[in-house]
Amino acid sequence: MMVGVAVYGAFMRNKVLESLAYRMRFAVGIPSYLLFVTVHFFIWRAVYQASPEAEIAGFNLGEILTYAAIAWIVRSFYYSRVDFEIAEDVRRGDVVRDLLRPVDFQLARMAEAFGESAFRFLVLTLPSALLVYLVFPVALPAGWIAGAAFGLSLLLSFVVYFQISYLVGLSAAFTEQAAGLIRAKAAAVELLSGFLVPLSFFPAWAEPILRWLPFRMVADVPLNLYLGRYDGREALLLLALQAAWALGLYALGRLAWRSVVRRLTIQGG
Amino acid sequence: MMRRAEIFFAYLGQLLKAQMEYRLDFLVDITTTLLRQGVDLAFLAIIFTKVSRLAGWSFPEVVFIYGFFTLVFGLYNATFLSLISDFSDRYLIRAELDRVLTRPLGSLYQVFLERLRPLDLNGIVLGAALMVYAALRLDLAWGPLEWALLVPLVLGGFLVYSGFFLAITSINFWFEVRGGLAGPFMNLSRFGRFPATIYGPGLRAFLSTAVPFAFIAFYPSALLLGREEYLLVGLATPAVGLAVFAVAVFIWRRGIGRYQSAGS
Repeated sequence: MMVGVAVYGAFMRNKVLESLAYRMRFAVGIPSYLLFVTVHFFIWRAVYQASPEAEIAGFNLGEILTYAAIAWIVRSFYYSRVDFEIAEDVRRGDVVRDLLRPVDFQLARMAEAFGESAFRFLVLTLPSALLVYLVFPVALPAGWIAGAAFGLSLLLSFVVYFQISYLVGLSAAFTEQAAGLIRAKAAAVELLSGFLVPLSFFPAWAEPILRWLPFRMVADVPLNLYLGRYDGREALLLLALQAAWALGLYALGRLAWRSVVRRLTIQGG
Repeated sequence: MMRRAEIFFAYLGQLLKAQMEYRLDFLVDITTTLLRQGVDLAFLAIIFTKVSRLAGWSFPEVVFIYGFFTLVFGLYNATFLSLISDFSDRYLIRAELDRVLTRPLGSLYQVFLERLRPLDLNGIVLGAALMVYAALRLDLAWGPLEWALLVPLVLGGFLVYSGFFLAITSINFWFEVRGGLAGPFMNLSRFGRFPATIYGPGLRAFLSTAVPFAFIAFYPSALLLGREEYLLVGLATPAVGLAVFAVAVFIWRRGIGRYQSAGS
């Protein structure tokens, strides 16, 4: 067990070192994230100026601005290109190398993705958050409990996002067009997770569907926890739900990997 | 001039053949573009279920501006995008510019031709479709003036967009910017997809002068949407486009003059 942890720790450390070599690329992201937040800040401000009511779909202006800003900050953490990397590994058959090693492919990729996200957290998420906090009227977490729940939820949103990316990346074993699927996934997650606009803004027929899909675990759950919209018991339940989705998708990933391996053997003749 | 046109079509034929090899990619590209734009439009549509106007603009009007931007970006995508996305790597670091400079034709024209993507028309088609949809919803009654201005306005927006990014890219002749300057400015250009009236006065002035992204779609669209108060500034779009592009060509020529190829 200890050996196992050390092995995956090594994958994580390697990814941190690799990211270090490309640190400029991450740093360039800081102004970009500031710009993303700026556009959405002005859009939401215009929406609330046009609305006769101070509250729309359960959000007042201050809450929605915080929601939109933190949505981008959270994204700067969980986002990675691990889906493209896995798809490329599968397409080129580089996964054969991984099959020869006494290492679990899925856990190794997750350790790498976490290494990248940990690096992003330091060079991109924190500086962007600080800048956004200084420039825009963004509220801090609603309280200690909200802050702690948000922190935990942030980690779980990383796991859920990774597992979705993992599944889409593996699709490269079955289609030449994995890159298209990956981009489609990115677009779908932006909308269906509540990242662009809170779920309560959606039409009445769409909202209940979205609450049953895994995507909201990426944005809707951590963001509403941040805003302190749930009491302690509800927050715990939501975190448990998030963890359940993370585990469920993890299991799905194992199944998918098994069929990928079978498929690779066939291609090998 | 005749010879330039001849060379243009020779390149176009070759590039079309090359791109036709990847027809399926082309279909997938269209689908993902549709999805991408669909997400943005869904975002706008959801917002407009809560309010009827955004900083003075109705949903179809915002869709028209968004469609205009998509059309201009589609033109950029088919022409300058691939040149600009790896210019520094390809032409400066790998010094492919050496090959270009040995030939008797303008260097900018050559690299422009080499990196055309004639089949990347999805943005153009989608943008035009959105504009038509919005125009029908709005019952726009265009006179001969609007029809005559349509193409010059689109080209003006295209020249603003391409010229700006060509200028940014030409800076690489002086110093190489790791990771590229284009990325953050690309994200800044997203500001041009929405009515500029949503921004504060300082930001709006910035987007109308120093970084004139409001001319990519907003000002020309406002003119085509029949907003009298934007008549003059809308009419200025082609001139602004030409000016921005002229600056880019100027910087490019200065850069070429400094170019000393890779290696020692």
